[in-house]
Order: sequence, then C-alpha cells, then structure tokens
Amino acid sequence: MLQKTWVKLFIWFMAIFFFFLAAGVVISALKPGPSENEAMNFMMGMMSAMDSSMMGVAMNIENDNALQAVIALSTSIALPIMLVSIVAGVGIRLWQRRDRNV
Amino acid sequence: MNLRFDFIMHWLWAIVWALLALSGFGMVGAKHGWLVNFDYATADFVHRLSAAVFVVLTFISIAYEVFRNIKKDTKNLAWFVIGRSGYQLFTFITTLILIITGALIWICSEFNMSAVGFALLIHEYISYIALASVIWHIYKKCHALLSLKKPQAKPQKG
Amino acid sequence: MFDKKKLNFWRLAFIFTGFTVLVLVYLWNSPQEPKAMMMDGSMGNMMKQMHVTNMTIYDLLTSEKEKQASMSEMHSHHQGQSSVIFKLNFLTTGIIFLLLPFIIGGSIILAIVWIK
Repeated sequence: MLQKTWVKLFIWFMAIFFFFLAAGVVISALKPGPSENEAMNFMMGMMSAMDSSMMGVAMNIENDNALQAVIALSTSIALPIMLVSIVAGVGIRLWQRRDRNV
Repeated sequence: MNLRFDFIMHWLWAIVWALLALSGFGMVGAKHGWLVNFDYATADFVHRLSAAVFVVLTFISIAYEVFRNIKKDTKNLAWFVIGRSGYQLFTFITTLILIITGALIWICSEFNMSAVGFALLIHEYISYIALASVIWHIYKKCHALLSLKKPQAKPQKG
Repeated sequence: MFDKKKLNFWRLAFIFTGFTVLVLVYLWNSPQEPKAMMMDGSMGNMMKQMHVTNMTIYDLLTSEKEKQASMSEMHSHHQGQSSVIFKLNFLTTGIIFLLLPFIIGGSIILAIVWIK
C-alpha cells in the first residue's frame, strides 16, 4: 500500500501541509503586532462571517425551535447514555476478564 | 488493492483535521488572519462543515473500537486513530476536549460568556498542543515519508 | 539524532525553519505599520481578558438568562443568509449534538475497558 506512488505523494503532501501550518502559526505568533489594517480586516471579516455564513445563524439559535428541540433532546439523553455506558463498560470488562480466566 | 479500514480512517481523519486546523488557526486572531486571507465567512463555513465530518469520524472510530472490545478482537490496528496507548490515546483525549469545547462554543448564545471564553481558551491551546504533536507524529513515523524517486526493490505487499 | 531514517523529516524541518526565520526577519525589518490598539492577541486571550479573569466556578454553572433577551434582539438582524446555509447549519448542528452524547458514552466505555 505504501509503495503506491499516489499514496507516497499524498503522504508527502500532508506532511508538507502540516509543516506549513506549523510555520504559519509560528510566524503569526511572533510577527510584529497586528497593524490597524489587520485589525480592521479581522473585524470586517468577522462581520461578514456573521452576515453570510453559519456563524450568524448559529448565533440565532435561540429563535430556532427545531434546533432547540435537538439540543434539548441531546442534553436529556446524555445522562442516561452515560449511566448505560458505565454499566456497559463494566460489563464488557467482565466479559473480557471471564474469557481470560477460563 | 487492499484498502484497510484503519488506513482509510487515518487519512480521512488527517484531511479533515488539516481543514479544521487551517480554517481554525486563521480565525484565532488578527495576526493569524493572513492564513485565510481574512475571508472569515469561508473559513467559518469550512470549519463548521468539517467539524460535523470530524464528529462523525470520531463516532465511527469509537463505535468500531467498542465493537472490537465486545468481539474480543485484540489485533493491533496500526493505522487506527484512537487506541489505548501512546499517540493514539493522546489523539483520543485531545479530540474529546476539542469536540466538547467546540460544541460549547457552537451554542455560545445559550451559555454565559465566561463559560464560552473558557471553552475558547481551552480549544485554542489544545489545538496548539495538537499541532505540535502532529509534527512529533511525523517525526516518529518518518519512515512513511518514502523517496519518490527510486522505487523500492522489495516486492509490493499491497 | 540525525540518523538516515529521519533524513526526510529533518529536510522538511530545516526547510520550514529557514522559511519561518526568513519571513520573520523580513517582517521585523520592513517598515512598521502603526500598531493597532486592540485585537492584540488571540480570540481566546481576548475572551479571557474580557470574561474569564474574574471568574469563579460558580459563574461557570449559572447562566445569564436576563442577558439573553437583549442578545437575541442583537442577533436577529443577521438574517441575510441563504436557505442553503440554514439547512447546512441545521444539519451540522443536528449531527454534532445528536452524536455528542454517544461519543461521550463511548469514551466512558472505552475508559472503563482500557484502565488496567
């Protein structure tokens, strides 16, 4: 699998991409502080994200009854699922242990 | 060609993580904006869409791992993203923290702002740690970076 | 340290370190634009300064209900999105919040099973 040329190329691409990302983050952290221009661009970008992307919609979540219902459902099933999974975890542990001891 | 499940999961995960990281680090602050050319509408869009894919991938991996435990399958999955030790465990923990804090930020208007600020802070610092760990992971797994020029003399294993 | 096996890693590392250092040197030597008074630091840091510094655990657990009315009014004017965005937002939010309890549950199972 690893000998295929496209797989090798792909792995190189991903490695280079992550190096680029790390270099970008280091450059961003160490470069001279944000200029007025950058700060303006940042705020304008955030405003446009509010207006034309999902950020604004997600901000508006408390007016969306369907999503409210989804979130209420997930919070209400969270605790039972956690309890069930604790029981299931102990169960699987015992199930594995029993086999090992036999 | 024998494509293995854990191999596919590994690289799907890597692609989604890369998209999330690029759009996310671009949104960190005014100094980082050049990474996404201050186009936060697109960055936000990409970040949210790939977050959903990321959650689905996490769910599939966790479900797969649970079923492996039920079936008492102790075979080592070399490429799998989560596991009980080493970098797999580290990925598992950081993923959980990122998903939970990310979900808190997602519904930020539901909570008070101090909780969101706290979640945002953790989300940011964990992603720095995770990015550093990816470089460490590349260092450890450097043998996968094969030379493109000379074909290996070994027979293909598929 | 610099053994043959890690050669490709060190190649990448040196190239990108050099690239980073060159860009930083160039940026610091180029004429400085006037520095912005605000937005210095990341969003997390800003939030920390604004909201987290004087926070107690108690604040984390209580919600500010009285603020919500004004907040929703403030955000209700962000309505310029197309319906595709609305659908995608619904889809992604639904996926994430429905799978979240299962992810937490699954990781509890795995934590219990994995602990020695």
